[in-house]
Amino acid sequence: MTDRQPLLAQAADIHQWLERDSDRADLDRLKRDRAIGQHQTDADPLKKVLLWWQAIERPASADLGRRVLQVRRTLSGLLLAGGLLIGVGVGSLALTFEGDYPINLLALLGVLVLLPFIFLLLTVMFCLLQAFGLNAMALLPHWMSPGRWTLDLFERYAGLQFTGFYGQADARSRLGFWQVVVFSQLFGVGFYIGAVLALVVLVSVSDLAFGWSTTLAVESSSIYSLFNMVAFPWASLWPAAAPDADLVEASRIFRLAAPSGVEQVALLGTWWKYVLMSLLIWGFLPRLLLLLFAGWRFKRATRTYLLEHSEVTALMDRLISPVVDLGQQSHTPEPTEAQESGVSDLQTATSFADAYILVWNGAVSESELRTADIAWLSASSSDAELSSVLNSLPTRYKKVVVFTKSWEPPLLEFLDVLSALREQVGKSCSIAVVPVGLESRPAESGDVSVWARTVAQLQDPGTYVMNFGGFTDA
Amino acid sequence: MPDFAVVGQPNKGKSSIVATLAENEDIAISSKPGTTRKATHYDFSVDGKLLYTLVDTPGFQRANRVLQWLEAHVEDASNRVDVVRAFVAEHRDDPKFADECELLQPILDGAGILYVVDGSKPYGPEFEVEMQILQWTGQPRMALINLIGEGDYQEQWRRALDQYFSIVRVFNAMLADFDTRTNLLRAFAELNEAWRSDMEAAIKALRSERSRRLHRSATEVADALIACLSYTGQQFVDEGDATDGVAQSLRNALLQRIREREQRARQQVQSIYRHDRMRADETDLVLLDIDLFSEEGWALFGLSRTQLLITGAMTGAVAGFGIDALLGGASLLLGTAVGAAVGSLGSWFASDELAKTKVLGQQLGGKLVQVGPLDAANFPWVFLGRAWLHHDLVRERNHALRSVMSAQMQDQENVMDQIPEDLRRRIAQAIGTIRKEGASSRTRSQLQACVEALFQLKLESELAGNKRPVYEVPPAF
Repeated sequence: MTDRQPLLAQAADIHQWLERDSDRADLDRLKRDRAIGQHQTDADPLKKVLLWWQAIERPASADLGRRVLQVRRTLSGLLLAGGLLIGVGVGSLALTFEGDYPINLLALLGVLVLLPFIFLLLTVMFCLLQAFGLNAMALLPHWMSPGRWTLDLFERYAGLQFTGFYGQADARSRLGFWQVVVFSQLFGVGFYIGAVLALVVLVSVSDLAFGWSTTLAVESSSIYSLFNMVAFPWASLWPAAAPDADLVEASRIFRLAAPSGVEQVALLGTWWKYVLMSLLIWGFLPRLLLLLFAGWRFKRATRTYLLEHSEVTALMDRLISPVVDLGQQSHTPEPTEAQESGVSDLQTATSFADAYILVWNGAVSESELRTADIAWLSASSSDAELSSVLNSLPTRYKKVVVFTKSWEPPLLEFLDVLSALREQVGKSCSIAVVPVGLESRPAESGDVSVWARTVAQLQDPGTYVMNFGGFTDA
Repeated sequence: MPDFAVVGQPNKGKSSIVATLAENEDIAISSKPGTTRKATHYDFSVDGKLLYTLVDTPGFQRANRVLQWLEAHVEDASNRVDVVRAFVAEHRDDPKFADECELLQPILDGAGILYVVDGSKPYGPEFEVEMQILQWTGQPRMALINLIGEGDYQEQWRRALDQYFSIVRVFNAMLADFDTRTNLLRAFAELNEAWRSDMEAAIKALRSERSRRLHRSATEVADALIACLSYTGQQFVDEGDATDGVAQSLRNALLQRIREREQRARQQVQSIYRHDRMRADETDLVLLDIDLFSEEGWALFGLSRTQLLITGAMTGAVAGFGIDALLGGASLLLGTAVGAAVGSLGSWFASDELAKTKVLGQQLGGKLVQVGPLDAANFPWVFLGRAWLHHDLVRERNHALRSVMSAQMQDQENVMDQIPEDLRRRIAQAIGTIRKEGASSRTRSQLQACVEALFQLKLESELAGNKRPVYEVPPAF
């Protein structure tokens, strides 16, 4: 797709692409679009969106716009061709001259000019209703316009919906309405081209004779006024194509008069210029003008249709909103929780009579311990204090219990102390780390689990964590 | 630009604070100590312009050893910073002090210090070692008392921290609301006058971004509601075929489509608030998990029969008043009275059926079975009530939280009770027009404005399983 695509095709592609893009993270979209928006100087929202569309990286496979264009072109071509064929057919039938009676101008103009002109006026009336904000599409019956049912085909084959309630119902119906007018006027223009062609060919290859006839008691002068009124737009430019009173008088026919009731037969052929101009000025030209007008309104409606789509309004917001990045750019993998140590499998320590007690960071108070063999160490103890405590450990104990604050995390400096302790007491002595809860209550299982995981890093089977069961005989 | 190094012992919530301030749900937060092993920088920028940087650091592991080294090498107070610098230079490649080097380096590079402690656990003198090291660096310092557990030892901590830090603040990374977060940023600015303008710019940008998110969320929800109100299901059947089964399957498909649209709107709102990774099951909670078309949901989020009646009457009265105004009061407010009566009667007799089924004859033979669009009077209110609750929860959810989103409600509480009458009437008008005429750009904007006004209201709820008597439920489902 290029930026030279018609707006409707681009609108279809942009909508479709943005709807698919809506699954992306909002921040990613904001960063991407704002980066483009920051380089845009044009204030026109349509230009902003189209420039964004050029700048965005996207797969080249978007085909909705292409399909919309193809279907629209095909339907437009069919309508033009259909109008042309019907125009040729109707024109040929209306201009049938067997040589007996001249072609009745009143009937000819009634069929080829007046009746279509009434439909044209009705269309203009619907256009006015639409311009005044009414939903003319809903009022426009299918029988009145070939464009209405062509739109149904367009919706079906192009995949665009112009009716329905969702989101921008008014923008869609506006777009649909002007598309209907464009379609129907294409048909009308084709029709008149066909009718004019039929006239030109028949005038060239046969001798046509025109007259007028009516059962009503109408004076020639009245009919002359009528014909003159019809010829008003071109009478001064091409007088030969405007009838004079004598021609009108001479063209009156009575079917009972033999053979045609007309004295000056040669005069009757001169009407073809008048018929040609009537078809061109009252048939072809208004429809061409309405087609151009509807095309212009369709383009405007397409602009609204494109810009009022919810995803496009969101895009506009992203183009002009500053990206506030609070620090989402750094990504670190979520840690995989290590397998929880089976805290319930840990032994619960309730008796400490046979163990030497080491209290780390004041995990328990002195008053709660009823043994004399206690040492106190903390994270702020000096190397000298640590050495002093370790060197004074009695050798009779086979077990050292280290009380720690369960709610504090086990730090590496604590593992350093455990390593030093192991070196001091030798492999035969077990070291039990006992995390104690607040106010000497049993620790929470989550905290004990953290301690168990950390102590396990020492890979020393003689150093392990025990649940704290309270003081009974310490 | 200011840098702030978030330091402290492991497991005191440093990463949680960074995750909340940076709105980054990717930051690893774990109960396992030492999860953060490298200093990670999180830049706060507006359109690429850097305003400040948060540095998440590993925790102190061997603070006592470090302090002993520093004390052994210091000559006098004037060269303490140089000694700290020398320590880092000497131990940069020493795995034993890897964590300390990582956390000290940003401070030596000029970062302000945010020292984090857990105020829910008692203070211990062993923490003074770290505070002393930080004091030695000479950088501006602030202490943050984070509250991870249920205990409260704030005063204990405050007394100790006041001796080492110029500013001490309590900050619960999990529960801090937007104002608390911006106040904290303002406190950062107090650490150094030179940082003030950048921090003020950051706060301004945050406020503007918050408004943008609310607007975008309201737009998404309004569009989703419009879409749900437009959905229909259609199927052609042969002339002699039964239509009941087809209608039922169309109805089920229609309801499922609406459920999916609601879920999509929720995901978009989550994405707008940077909660992209929030799993689907995190919203499958007591309240938000209630099916969109369940009895419970309609009782909890919908309007009561009386509320529907009043809203209908008010909407009708406003329309009638317009006629009175056109007649210059000559109608003696008859239009208002009639409008109110018609509106209330319309609401009273409105069908509770969710969506009507139509069977239409076709010109070419056969029948067209059509279900929908939804016309149950309460559906839009249920939809909006759920969206309001979801938005409120997502907006206030901090990015440090890794638990599922939870919500509870008091007995007898109804979400819609909290909407002011005027807003309720405006919503009813917009929905009425959309149902009648389709969603034009104007009505869409009106509904968006209503939803935005709704989302600006703070939902006063402690949600918890609704025990309210069920008063009306569409019989169709």
